[in-house]
Amino acid sequence: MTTALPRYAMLLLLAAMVLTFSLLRPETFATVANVRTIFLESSVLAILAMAAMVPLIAKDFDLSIASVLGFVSLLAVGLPTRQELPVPVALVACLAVGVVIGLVHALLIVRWELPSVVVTLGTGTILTGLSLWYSGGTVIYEGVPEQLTRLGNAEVLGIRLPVFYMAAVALILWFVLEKRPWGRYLYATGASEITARLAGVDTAKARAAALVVASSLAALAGIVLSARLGSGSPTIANDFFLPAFAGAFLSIAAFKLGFFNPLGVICAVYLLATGVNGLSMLGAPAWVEHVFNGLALVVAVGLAHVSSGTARTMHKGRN
Amino acid sequence: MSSALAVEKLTKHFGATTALDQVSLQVAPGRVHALIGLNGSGKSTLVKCLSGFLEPDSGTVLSEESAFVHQDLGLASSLSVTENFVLGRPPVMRGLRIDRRAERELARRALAPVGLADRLDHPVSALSTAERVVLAIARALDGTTTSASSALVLDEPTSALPADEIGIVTRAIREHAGRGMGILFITHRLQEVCDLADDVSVLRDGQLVHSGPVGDMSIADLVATMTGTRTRAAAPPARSGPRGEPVLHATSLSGRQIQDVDLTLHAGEIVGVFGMLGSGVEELGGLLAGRERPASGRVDLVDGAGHARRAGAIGYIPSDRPNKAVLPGLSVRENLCLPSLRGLVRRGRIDRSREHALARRLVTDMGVQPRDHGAAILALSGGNQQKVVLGRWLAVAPPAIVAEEITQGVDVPAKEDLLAQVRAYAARGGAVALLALEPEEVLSTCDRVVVLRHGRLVDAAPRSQTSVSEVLAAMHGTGDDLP
Ligand SMILES: Nc1ncnc2c1ncn2[C@@H]1O[C@H](COP(=O)(O)OP(=O)(O)OP(=O)(O)O)[C@@H](O)[C@H]1O
Ligand SMILES: [Mg+2]
Repeated sequence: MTTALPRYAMLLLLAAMVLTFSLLRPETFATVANVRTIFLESSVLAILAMAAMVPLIAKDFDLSIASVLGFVSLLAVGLPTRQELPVPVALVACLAVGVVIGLVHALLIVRWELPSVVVTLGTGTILTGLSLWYSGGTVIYEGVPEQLTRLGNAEVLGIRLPVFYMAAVALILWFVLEKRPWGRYLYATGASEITARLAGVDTAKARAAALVVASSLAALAGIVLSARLGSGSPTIANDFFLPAFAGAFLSIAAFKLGFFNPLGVICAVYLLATGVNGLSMLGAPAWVEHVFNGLALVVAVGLAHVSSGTARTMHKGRN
Repeated sequence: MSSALAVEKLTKHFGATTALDQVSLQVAPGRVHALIGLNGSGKSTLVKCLSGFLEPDSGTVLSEESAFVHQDLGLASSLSVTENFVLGRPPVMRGLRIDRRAERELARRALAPVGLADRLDHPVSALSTAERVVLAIARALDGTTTSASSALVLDEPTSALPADEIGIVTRAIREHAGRGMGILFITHRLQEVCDLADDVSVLRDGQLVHSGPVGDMSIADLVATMTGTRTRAAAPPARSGPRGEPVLHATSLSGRQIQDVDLTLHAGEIVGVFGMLGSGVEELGGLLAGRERPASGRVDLVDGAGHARRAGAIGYIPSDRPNKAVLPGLSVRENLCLPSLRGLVRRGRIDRSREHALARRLVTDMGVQPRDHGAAILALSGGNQQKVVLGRWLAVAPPAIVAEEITQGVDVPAKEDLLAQVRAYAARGGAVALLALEPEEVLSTCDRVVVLRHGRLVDAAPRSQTSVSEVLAAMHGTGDDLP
């Protein structure tokens, strides 16, 4: 079987991009500091993009992830400063919020069979409102405990902690999606929910778990974001929504071609981050970032489609 | 004489597979032409090249106007019967708007003869497999002008049809041939070739090995041409051991069509459940396997494993293979191993070597071709997909398997092998229910036969006392009931 696009094409593209920018801007792009910036800046986005990806495997959309990230990032700084909760308690509460939102999604989308796009658009909008209410519309930044900011800024082996969080999430997701039955059930559900169910898979449970994982990861991303910035902003979620979904969708063009997968998400997020970073160093104006992101998404997904073109004709031509 | 449809030196490769190898074939106007061959011999590929769905690597297709019914029918299951019927044709306009009433009338007129007139507003998803086939054929026939230069091509139109419906289809085919159309149809039911076809072409491994009038060719002749060998082991003797303990009880089961059905499956026993379209036999499978909720009544699994509704406790093979049995986009291995995954977990993860070993064993046992379990399931021919779907459950060895139309699309020699696998499973203590609209193919495998009529069980008899014609009579409610 021929594939127009090898599994590692995106990785090679990333390498080519790094090389090009390094040659063009050796003093600014190719510095340790800049590489660290790219890694650090993208770690929260990568976690969020993985949150978007998990339910997508089973063809469920969670459009609320960015709003969850925004709300939780406010709580993460607000609960210790305004409600004066100890940091560990506040963080557990933050994660619990993510789990609860996921459970609500599971109830509405899986049990009551409401369309996921509509449900999560609704809950996301509600959370945006709650964020404005909780923050009073302003950035929370005063008196943020060091215990929290350390979690986002401490270094191990010269690498900031958020990069490790991201790596841990990716590895765990890779393991459960590839090596545990749950992951197989999720991919089977994405291929055909009714077939998977008739073949004995508890598709409801698999989908519900995916929705809970998504909200929980979004909450985790919110915590990491606040820990790194030392503040919480009611509007920051807007900056994350599209790039997160771009990363999730692009993942089908890397490693496990035609399927959403966590390592593909990481690769895609860094591809986008590197491109944007390099272009800005070349002096491109700000609007180029959006054009680049959009273009990368369409081109990569198009390539993935062509490369699984064999799969596609087979798809149409059953039997 | 010009032909209604002709292909010349058609060749098609899929990677290393040669699906069609220099195939040349003519369908004459006014003749019914059967295309036969073993699973994977290239029949569906030929039809897809004819319809332009696939681009052949080389060769030409000559046809004026052809209508097609593909193996997967191409119906939109959420749309109504009427909407599906008018889908391909230009809308009937009345001023600026679509004249729904006129379209409905069109559909009614075309569908009344095939018994679908009272279901025009039902979604296709509420139709049985057989009703869908009837609809797809009616739609394809509707689009064509019946003339000497037109052709109708059908890919296994009858593989999921009961005897009386086959009659309707074959009559329609005859009628159109009588008006000068050329008809090309694929089938695995060789009796049909002898009864219906004027000409027959045989594909073997992508090559055309025979093309000519049926004349007085017998089924044995056809099989010999398909396989290339004349000797074929006789069918294994029907096993009839003592039946074991009860495994599955259905008690006063009722659903949409089913009423008050009591049925017990025993370990080691194969029960045939037959009924005509509309008898409820299409509904019973999902209920027995616990995949659908009954309106009333219950199904109990009696081995202490708990209630049958527990996902996956009972093996289930639905008749709607493309939509309900095959996971598109996934590999043969993933399709085979899905219900077995939990048993493959070692040290917290699915053990890759065990998974591959299982897939290898199943592919060999079931005779799946090609044997590469990493291949995409949709790269397999229809009959080979069916083998995968059965293998999926034999691997789990559940206490009971409920299978609808288990032999559909499987070629004549492979059918015996497949049924032998079912018998072996029963001999190991499994309970089996084989549901079908047509007793002929599986009757000899059954230890006991029950018949459904108008939603009720009318008869139960050991096979040794039942012939195909007796079962058919019971299905139709004519003649004496079974002893
Ligand atoms: N999309 C595809 N990709 C790769 N291989 C394919 C594809 N479609 C068919 N094949 C292969 O081509 C060969 C012919 O398949 P085809 O579906 O034409 O068989 P068939 O005669 O219709 O069989 P059946 O009676 O089982 O329906 C088989 O070996 C099959 O595996
Ligand atoms: Mg076929």
